[in-house]
Amino acid sequence: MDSRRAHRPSELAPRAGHFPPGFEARVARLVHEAAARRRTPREDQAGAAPRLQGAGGEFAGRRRYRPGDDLRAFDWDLYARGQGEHVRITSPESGERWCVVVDSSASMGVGARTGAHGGRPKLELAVQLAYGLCALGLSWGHQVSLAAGERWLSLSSAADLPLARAALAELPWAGRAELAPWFGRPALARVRRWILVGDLLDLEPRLIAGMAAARRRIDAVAVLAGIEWAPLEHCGGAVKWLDPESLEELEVHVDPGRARDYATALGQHLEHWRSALARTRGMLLLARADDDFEPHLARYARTCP
Amino acid sequence: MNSLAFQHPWALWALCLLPAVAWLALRGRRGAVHATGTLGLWRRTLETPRTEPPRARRTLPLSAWVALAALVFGIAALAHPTAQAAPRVGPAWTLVVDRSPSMYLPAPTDERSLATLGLASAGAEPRAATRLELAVRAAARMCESAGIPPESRRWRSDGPLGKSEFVGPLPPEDWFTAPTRGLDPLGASPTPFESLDRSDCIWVSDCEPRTAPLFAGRVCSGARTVPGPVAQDGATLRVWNGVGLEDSTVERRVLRVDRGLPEPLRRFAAVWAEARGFAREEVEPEGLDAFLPDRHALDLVGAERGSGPAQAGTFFAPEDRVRFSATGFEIALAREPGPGWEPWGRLEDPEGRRLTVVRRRLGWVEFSFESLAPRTQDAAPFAVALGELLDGAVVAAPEVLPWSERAAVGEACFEFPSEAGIRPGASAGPRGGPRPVPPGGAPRGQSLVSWFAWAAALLALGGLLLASRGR
Repeated sequence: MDSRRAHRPSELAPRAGHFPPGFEARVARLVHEAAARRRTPREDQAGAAPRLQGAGGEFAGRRRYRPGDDLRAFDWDLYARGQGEHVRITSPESGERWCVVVDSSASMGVGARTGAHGGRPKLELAVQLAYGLCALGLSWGHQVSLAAGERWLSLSSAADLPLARAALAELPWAGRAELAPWFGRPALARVRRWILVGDLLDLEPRLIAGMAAARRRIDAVAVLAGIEWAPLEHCGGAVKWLDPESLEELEVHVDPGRARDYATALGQHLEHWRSALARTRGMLLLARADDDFEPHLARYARTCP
Repeated sequence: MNSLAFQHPWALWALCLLPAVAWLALRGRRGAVHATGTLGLWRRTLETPRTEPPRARRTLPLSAWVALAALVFGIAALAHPTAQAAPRVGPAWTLVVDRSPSMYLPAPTDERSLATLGLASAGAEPRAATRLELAVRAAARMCESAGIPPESRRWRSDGPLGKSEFVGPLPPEDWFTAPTRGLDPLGASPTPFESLDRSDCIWVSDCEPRTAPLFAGRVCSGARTVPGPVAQDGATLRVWNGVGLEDSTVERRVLRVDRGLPEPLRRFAAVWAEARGFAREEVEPEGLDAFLPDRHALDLVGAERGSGPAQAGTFFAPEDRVRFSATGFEIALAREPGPGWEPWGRLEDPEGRRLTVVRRRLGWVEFSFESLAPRTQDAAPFAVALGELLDGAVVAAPEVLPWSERAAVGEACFEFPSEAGIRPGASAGPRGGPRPVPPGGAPRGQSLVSWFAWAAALLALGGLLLASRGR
């Protein structure tokens, strides 16, 4: 019997993330408020929303109408000819391409330990933030791609959000973080804003410097569990740390002095991330796995240009 | 100050488990596994110099210490702890010993009395010869049962032989020896038990005192009837046979008078001897050295002259009941300052100086009068005062004890002192039932089992809470 497996914490068992009841409504309210703040007085007078997807762009084709689609894009001509309900699709000009990348590696399950230290896994907040960011980008007229796990989705309107929700709701934490390959995918070559949602512990900030050369803006939300933010609040003395991805173990005597050293190292790591993101004009948000998604999403909406 | 005693001390062997439990706690502490995504940061932290001293690395968590404390209290509770009165420092218990004549009578030998005193099993010990020996032996055993060390036992005697004290495991040997010259029943005063009714006192006697103690413990040897002579009147010896009195004729006892004493004293001695039934012998001072083991009653002798000259003045009998015109000199008191001497009256010269010219002890009265005359024509006060002087010094006839000393006056008793002053049977008077304390066992202290059990439970609860918080 593998001794490491015998000591394996319960949080390492893969489990699908989930959304709380009424989650979509909370996101919609927050996105609506953010969109209202961004609307200029001129746009209000026009009663239009030029940042809506397709508004003012070149005609790119049609697709079947789905509830929630903007009626201004409804193709009345085809409807009058009895060819069904379609909406016109145009390539965006005022909007830009976003890509929200969710880290669903095994380390995102940290924090879900059952028992006295029970809490939420990092992935739960990550998927909620990812969904909210998608909704936010769509409401601002951007085309949003969602990369989670092994697949990615292209979201062109709010009507595509249920697809994103379905993909995120069943997203398990497992394996290693493979975020870097997303940046090299040809289909995502036109993405101008990358938003990374994860613990940022598997990526080196050096990678971000390469992105900066391509005039890409990279934002990141670092989601860490409570035991990663303040280990001394959760354990003390001799602790055997286990990396969920490599299953490596490291025995450390956690005392106040060691915890201070750790906090210093964590601060340096995040500061490297912040400076690397700043070179892409991006920003870094810090979140705790037990936090609500709304304050972080609202902050992003407030500070995002 | 109390000490801790355990009724089941074998349970304390379970304390040997503590090191094993501590080892398991340390081992379990090492095995605590927590997942983290920051393993690289921890590894980097280990590469930096420590800011805390390394000696703190292998300490047990607080919860483990609390759990160990709970274990200690739990094991102690299993051992049935009791709070015992700690041995006191210094003379902690006063054992008031009755040394009246009856205490030198033969001790009871029945098993019931010995069992009451807890001495039945002491078969290897020689049987106590006198009631005093038996009672003292039982009292010493009571001290041992109560944990009173020998240096904390103060033996006290307030009998007719005078007050004396001794600290040690047992009273001195001479206490057990009956006075060879007999005892004076007229001068005997009862042991003041009632004034020593304290929780640190043990009354040691042959019978229960007239008033049952509220606080003091008591040891009674038991007093069965001892037939024997109860009085001698002249040549008649009265012997009590347990049922009635039988008279027998014996030789008269002797009053020896120094020829050098003033005439009034010698004439009074003749009258007093006749009244008391003694034979009178006038002897030279050298003749007083002859030993009369059975017939001696009293010696009246002239004292040796002290350093000062003879003084004329007024002699005051005790309590100033009568006065004499007398001439005398200071008795050389320093020559024989032994025990038992008692000055009697005083001589005041015209300048107010006071001289001791008469003193007495049992069987012996010394005078330093050169002349003596009553100041009034009435000689009665003179005779009464001198009669009291001689009566208080006369030696009792050998083997003669008052009937009250020879009669049966009670059973053996064995009772520990009472701290609270509540004693079963105390209100029943001197014949109240004995306190239900088993003579073979020490007094039980207050049980602390529940306290220790509660402490263990609370500590265990605290340990669980701390463990749940990762402390």
